[in-house]
Amino acid sequence: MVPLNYYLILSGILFAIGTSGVFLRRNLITVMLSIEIMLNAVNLTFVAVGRYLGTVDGQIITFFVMTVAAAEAAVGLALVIALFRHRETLSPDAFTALKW
Amino acid sequence: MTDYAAIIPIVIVALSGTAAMLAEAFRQPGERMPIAGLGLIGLAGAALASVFLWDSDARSFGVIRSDNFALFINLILCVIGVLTMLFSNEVVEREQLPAGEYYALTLYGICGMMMMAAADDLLIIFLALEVLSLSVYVLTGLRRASEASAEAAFKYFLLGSFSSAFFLYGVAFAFAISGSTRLDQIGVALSAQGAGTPPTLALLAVGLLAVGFAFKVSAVPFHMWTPDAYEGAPTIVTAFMSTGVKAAAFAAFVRVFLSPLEPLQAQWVPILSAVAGVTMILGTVVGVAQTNIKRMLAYSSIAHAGYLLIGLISNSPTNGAGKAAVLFYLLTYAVTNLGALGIVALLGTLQNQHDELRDFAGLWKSRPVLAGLMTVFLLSLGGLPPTAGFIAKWYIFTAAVQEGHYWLAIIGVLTSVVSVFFYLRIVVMMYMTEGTETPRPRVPATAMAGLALATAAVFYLGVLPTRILDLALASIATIF
Repeated sequence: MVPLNYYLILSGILFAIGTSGVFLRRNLITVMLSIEIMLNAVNLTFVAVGRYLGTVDGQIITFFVMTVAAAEAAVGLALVIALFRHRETLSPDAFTALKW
Repeated sequence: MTDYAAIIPIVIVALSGTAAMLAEAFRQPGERMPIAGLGLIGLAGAALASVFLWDSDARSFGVIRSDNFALFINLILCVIGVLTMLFSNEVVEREQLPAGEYYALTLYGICGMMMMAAADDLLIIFLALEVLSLSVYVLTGLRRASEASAEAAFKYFLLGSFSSAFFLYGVAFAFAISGSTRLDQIGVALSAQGAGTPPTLALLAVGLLAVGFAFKVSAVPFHMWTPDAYEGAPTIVTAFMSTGVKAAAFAAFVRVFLSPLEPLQAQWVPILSAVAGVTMILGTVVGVAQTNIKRMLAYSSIAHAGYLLIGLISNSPTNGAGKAAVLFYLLTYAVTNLGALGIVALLGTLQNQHDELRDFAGLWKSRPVLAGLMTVFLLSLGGLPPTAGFIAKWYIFTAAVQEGHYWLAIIGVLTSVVSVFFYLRIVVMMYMTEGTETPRPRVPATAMAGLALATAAVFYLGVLPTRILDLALASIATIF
């Protein structure tokens, strides 16, 4: 069996990839996808820890997180469309109506 | 058998939100429908249920706990909701916001806030946080024709969901330490570690949870979204979210950090003290430079988050003064800030938001009553006696001194003094500057009733605070 630490390190790396994606990517959709990667890194932690502790709790929590992620994606994409209608671009640099 | 008592206030608000949505769906085009009334009924019902549940310490499903602390926050949220509803009727029509969505999302937001205050499980806190955040993101972007509104909503959404991911990672580490997301079991697992350096996982959990909460209460360095979201949102939504989200987030912040994470106090107090100090200073200093009222009140809201953090820090197992002060402060901030932003919202029209400093010129001449009430709210935000803001700050700083956080108390007092400057700028503008002859819209009687209620509360809390403060003290005694 793969030790728990490997999973924790992998999820830490995935979380870091997601975090850096939020800061570095210059496309709003990709930035949202980076947040999804962060959430899924957390899911991996929950499942790995649940398996390690021998309970199903971790896997059940994952379902809650997936539902929340779906709701977030729905709201986020709707907001992206609302933004796109005004500027016809997805680059975050274009949106300067408010002091950033 | 499962006990449903604890979730009754939450369910009532959720039902009235659904009723608001259905009412809009069945509305004929052009028909006027008092949807705000439905919200008022629901909120009154929730407040009544909270009063009946007082002292019962009811629990539902093992994860929702209606102790007096949660019920006190419920009552604050009901006050916030009622005031918002009273102001909304006119504003929603004038700014042409979609009424059904507006009322339903506001009520669902309140429902999430109540759940967040009552949750006894980190996963439920996360779900409640998402319920309230998703409602507020959409509310922020409700003016679809406005580019600023869409931009504000997206920025808020992006940074909000980014911080939720951090919060959730913290939950995952807490789960890894204790094998459960229940607050009491996490507390047991952490106390069992005993003294000495806590394990890395515990520190990671505390740090990530703190980041998540700091984002939601807009503490520095996680405050970037606040001014943009507050400026871009419809003013009435700014009023609602600046008070409601803060109350709910601080409720959960206090509950998580002062019961299960209390064994790690030695680790998190220094960090949060630094955050509180920087938050107060930055909120005040940058606030001075603002000429837009909503932006100015956004920075003021950041500074107020700093004061509230002092209350959170200034606690020890034997002394709960700081927690009671936080509850009192949240109530004070709710009535004061809702009043101030409510006036801005009531003066705005579709063409002119009435949120620039110069828009307030000569308000005393054309609208003496509104100018007078605005002055009261601004003085209370600045913390001048005999208003509620003074007493609230007094208790926060007293708690800080009792626990030996002298520096925080000094920074708090100094920043309060500086903040009076930018509140008084608005007052000077209203009384001493000649206004342009732009017509200002009529303010209906229901909204005036709301403003009167808020003013009465400001003076009641400022002159006779003992009763409410005793209630706050009693309500924190039950859980910690």
